[in-house]
Amino acid sequence: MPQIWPIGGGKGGTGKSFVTGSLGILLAREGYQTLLIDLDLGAANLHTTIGAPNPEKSLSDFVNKKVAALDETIIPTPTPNLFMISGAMNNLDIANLAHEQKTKILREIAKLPYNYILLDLGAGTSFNTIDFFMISNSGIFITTPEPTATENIYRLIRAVYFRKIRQVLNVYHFRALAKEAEERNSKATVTNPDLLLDMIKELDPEKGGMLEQELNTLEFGLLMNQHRKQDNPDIGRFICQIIEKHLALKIQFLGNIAFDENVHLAVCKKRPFLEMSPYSRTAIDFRECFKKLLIMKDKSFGIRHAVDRVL
Amino acid sequence: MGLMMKPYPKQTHYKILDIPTDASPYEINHAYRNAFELYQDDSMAAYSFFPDSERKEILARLEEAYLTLINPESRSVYDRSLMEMGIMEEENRYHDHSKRVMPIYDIRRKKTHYQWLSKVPVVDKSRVSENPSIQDILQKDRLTGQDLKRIRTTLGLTLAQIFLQTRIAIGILEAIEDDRFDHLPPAVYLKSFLKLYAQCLTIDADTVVQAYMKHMKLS
Ligand SMILES: Nc1ncnc2c1ncn2[C@@H]1O[C@H](COP(=O)(O)OP(=O)(O)OP(=O)(O)O)[C@@H](O)[C@H]1O
Ligand SMILES: [Mg+2]
Repeated sequence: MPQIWPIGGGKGGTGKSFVTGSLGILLAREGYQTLLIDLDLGAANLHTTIGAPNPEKSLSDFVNKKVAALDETIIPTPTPNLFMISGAMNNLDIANLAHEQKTKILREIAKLPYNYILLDLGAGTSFNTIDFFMISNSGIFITTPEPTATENIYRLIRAVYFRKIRQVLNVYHFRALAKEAEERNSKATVTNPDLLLDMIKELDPEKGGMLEQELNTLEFGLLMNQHRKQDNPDIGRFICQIIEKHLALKIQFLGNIAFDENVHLAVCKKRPFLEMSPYSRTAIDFRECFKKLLIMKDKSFGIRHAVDRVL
Repeated sequence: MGLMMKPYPKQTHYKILDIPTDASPYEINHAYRNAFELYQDDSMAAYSFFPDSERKEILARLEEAYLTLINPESRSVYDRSLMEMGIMEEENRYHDHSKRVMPIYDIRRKKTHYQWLSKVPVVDKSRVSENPSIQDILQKDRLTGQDLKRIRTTLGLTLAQIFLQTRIAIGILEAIEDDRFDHLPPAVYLKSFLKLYAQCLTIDADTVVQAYMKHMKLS
């Protein structure tokens, strides 16, 4: 079963596609069979970060039933061991995928014969985006040292947290407990999922314990991209501390990736940045983060589980 | 979980600073400095998460906790009030280390609310044997605290996780990693600590004990 790393982070332009492409190249170079899937339907540009030509096939061929199996949309890239499914040419938005289309994609992804599958989730925190994010227990968040980007990380992680609560409690239980929790403490609402969990634990210790266990299986990573010299190097670590303290979720800071003018140049030239500037600070940062990521690794036992639950 | 939201008795000064009830002044200072940096006015990580009023309230609570605990007299009064409420026990109070024998394991320490958060991950031995930089470190015949720390962080373990597994106080673990030898317990205890620490990292305990003791002697 593949290890799946969903890569998201809310805000547009933080570098999700750039990071997905670069991590894919590093995995492929290690000899892992690696597949990148561009789920940023509508604004797909993942292929440009790995120097792949404009794709002739894409995910929409599967969604529109032009091809029967998802693996028929896979295309090779200039990097050995690295493959991708493009999202280009899609006129559909991930937020508008019908439930059965989404579950079909999720189910097929988990069956693909790769060591690693990286999902570029694009911006946004739609219901569907979060479902894709939760296909595995170890999603990776990308942010930049800017307040709006940080806020988006929090928004996304709260949404993930809240969705987990709803998955574990059945609808009936959830409504009843959430209502009672809110009556007892008016702050225990969707925007305060941690307090909600606290209240649920008090009202129904058994369900609360189950929930806590489920939340405990999640282990996220955070990457601070476009980091400039004058930026505080600790922001990423602090964000993780806040999340661990106040949402009781595990999230590991994977490191800062330096800002580099040449990234733009590489994208324009449609060449992988890691090949163009292998000795730049940014490339070194990537390799360091990559090492940490491999150590963190996906506890992939959660995948089937997560897929089943969406059904 | 939300620092702010719990009714009073659940949030002791110790919980707010995230330290055990027998924390040393050194640990209290350390915890306050870290927390302050995290929640201060221009911490992007905090102001993007909390409404300003809530963040200010956390800061005020931290300061109150710090000022109460750093002063031995007010701390003693506060501890007594906790004991009267039955949320703290005499044996878990801080005693000045210079005046008593260092506790070896704090097995009696209560489970904390956050304990499940930092459950110790099982380290796969192959991660040590297949990691060239760790192997390089282990080749040396003197191991510094910094070396041990590098192995630990390479494996992605936190001090809190080591504490949870070994019950060695975090202050001591830090002193080992910082080579602050004058803060370390007598050799017999130190050796058993190093052994437990090495076991957590799945590296050979005897090698570590020997190499670290040698480093200490030669420093
Ligand atoms: N480390 C970096 N240094 C310099 N520029 C960067 C860096 N990372 C990304 N960029 C620039 O930011 C732009 C956006 O990057 P990218 O397309 O990867 O973001 P994204 O998060 O995928 O955006 P979207 O939400 O639109 O999909 C790119 O044009 C790239 O040039
Ligand atoms: Mg993108």
